[in-house]
Amino acid sequence: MASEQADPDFATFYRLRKDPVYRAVLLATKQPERAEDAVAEAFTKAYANWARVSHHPAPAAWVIRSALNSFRSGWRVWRRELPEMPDVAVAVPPDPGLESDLLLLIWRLPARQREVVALRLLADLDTRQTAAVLGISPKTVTVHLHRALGQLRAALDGSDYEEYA
Amino acid sequence: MDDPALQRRVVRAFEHFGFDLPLEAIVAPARPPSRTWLRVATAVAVPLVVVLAIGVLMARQVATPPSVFGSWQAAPSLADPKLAAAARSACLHDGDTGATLLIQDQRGLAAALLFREGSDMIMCVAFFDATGEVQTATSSGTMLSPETTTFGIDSLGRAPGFSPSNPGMTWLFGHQPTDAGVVSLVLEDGTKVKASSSGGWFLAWWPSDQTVASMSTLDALGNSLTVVAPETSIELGPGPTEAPSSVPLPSAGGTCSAGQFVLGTPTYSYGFGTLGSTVVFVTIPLRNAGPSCVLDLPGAIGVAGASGPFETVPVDKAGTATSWASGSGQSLPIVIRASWWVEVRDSNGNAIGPGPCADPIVDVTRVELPFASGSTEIDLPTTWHEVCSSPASLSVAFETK
Repeated sequence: MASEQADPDFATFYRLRKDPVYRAVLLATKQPERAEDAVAEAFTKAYANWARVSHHPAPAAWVIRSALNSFRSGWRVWRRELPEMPDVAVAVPPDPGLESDLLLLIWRLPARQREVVALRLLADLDTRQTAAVLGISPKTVTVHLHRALGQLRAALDGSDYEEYA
Repeated sequence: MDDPALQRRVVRAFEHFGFDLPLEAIVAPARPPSRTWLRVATAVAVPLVVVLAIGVLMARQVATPPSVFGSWQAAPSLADPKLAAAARSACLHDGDTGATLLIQDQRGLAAALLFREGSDMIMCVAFFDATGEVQTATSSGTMLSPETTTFGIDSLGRAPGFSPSNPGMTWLFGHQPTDAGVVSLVLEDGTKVKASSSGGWFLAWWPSDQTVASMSTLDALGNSLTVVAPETSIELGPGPTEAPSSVPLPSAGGTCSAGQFVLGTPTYSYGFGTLGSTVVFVTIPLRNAGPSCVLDLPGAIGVAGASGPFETVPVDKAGTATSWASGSGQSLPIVIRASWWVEVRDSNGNAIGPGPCADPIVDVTRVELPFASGSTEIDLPTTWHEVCSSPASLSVAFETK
């Protein structure tokens, strides 16, 4: 099988990081199908350049940045390829195991806060790596994360959303 | 550290979302992994999209008092220019600077906005949430080829809901001969909806899955024009590929008839199964030779051997879209993924894999694919050695390249 021929380091990296990377890109982009494509493309690029990427101080951050770049540049092409593609397209009851309320609150965070939550918490990047991917300062990352958690905490505690927004 | 317990909850909330593209697809040198493959081959992609779709829809009900759906009106209300400005950034990509807003169909708190850039049409339903941030409930991109030149529908789309209290939404846009006449729609359940019009275009949306029964307007001379929607106006008899079923197959839903589709030659390819299973994809090319309709993926199909009767088996709906607005003349392949157990033993002689299901249907070579009305029999280009009902071993998806 092809996996047996793949670089074992890359295979391990992929196995350990594919889910966190995907979750992060998913939350940052809010476009599940494009996130799938972007993450697949980013990992493919990482594999093609593994000799270099493997020496990156944070290969997962490299993949996420590549995926986000791919997402932004590919949106237009994707739109042209799909003649009609509703965003909301599946009618199945929600999984009772999911923290649906918390997911909705996270989903509604402002874009930058979502990105920081995605990279800092879901992808487990540190503040500096997150800052590098997003092109903002480490201090800004800290502020956005603090605000995001504050909003989530207030909402979960039952505060009215308008009061803390 | 800022609230580590909450941070752990955030991480746990996303643990159900997985990226199941096998390593083989990443390291394969031939071509980058396609979205089709992703959607069909990874079962986890389905619950992922389900939850996100629900999230988008529920957000409106939970966070927006009164709800967006609740504020909907059958006649357009005064367009909110702030929403139009905010929706431009939310609905369009940064590079779409040339996109023009054609119509804003405001109904209560939410509005459908129709943008055009060349032949690209971007429809987006947007609203302000309780925080004042613009949110998009749904959006779609459509290429007009060709666009309607008379009174008619260019595109009809649907975002299905997930519960009786959240029925999803339907939208359409098209051309009208003059802006002088309001376009009045009558939905299947009798609901009357007045569309918004501008520049020879009309646009409307409504929070239900009801399709259009008829629509009317006035021509330049003030004469009434009425069009009965193709879904209800054209009675299509059995097509050449329509097959009698020995067992009643449940309707697939939507509005398409089996007889309006021309069947191409099915092809197949092998997928990546886990150790102990074989995966085969069969692609069924379909071309809509009839009027525009809504094509829903079926929840069950018929399967049979070379000569035996068809048996109905459930199928999982894979991919992000289970319903598609199929334009007249449009091709839309459907992919069926089949998997079955292949006995593999480890070095100790123990079987690896789930094992066969209790009562498999063996050596399947024919499939009966249901539509909203009628069904089509398809001879498979390969043999599915086992098909299981519980758990379902078949899944269906639209192919998008």
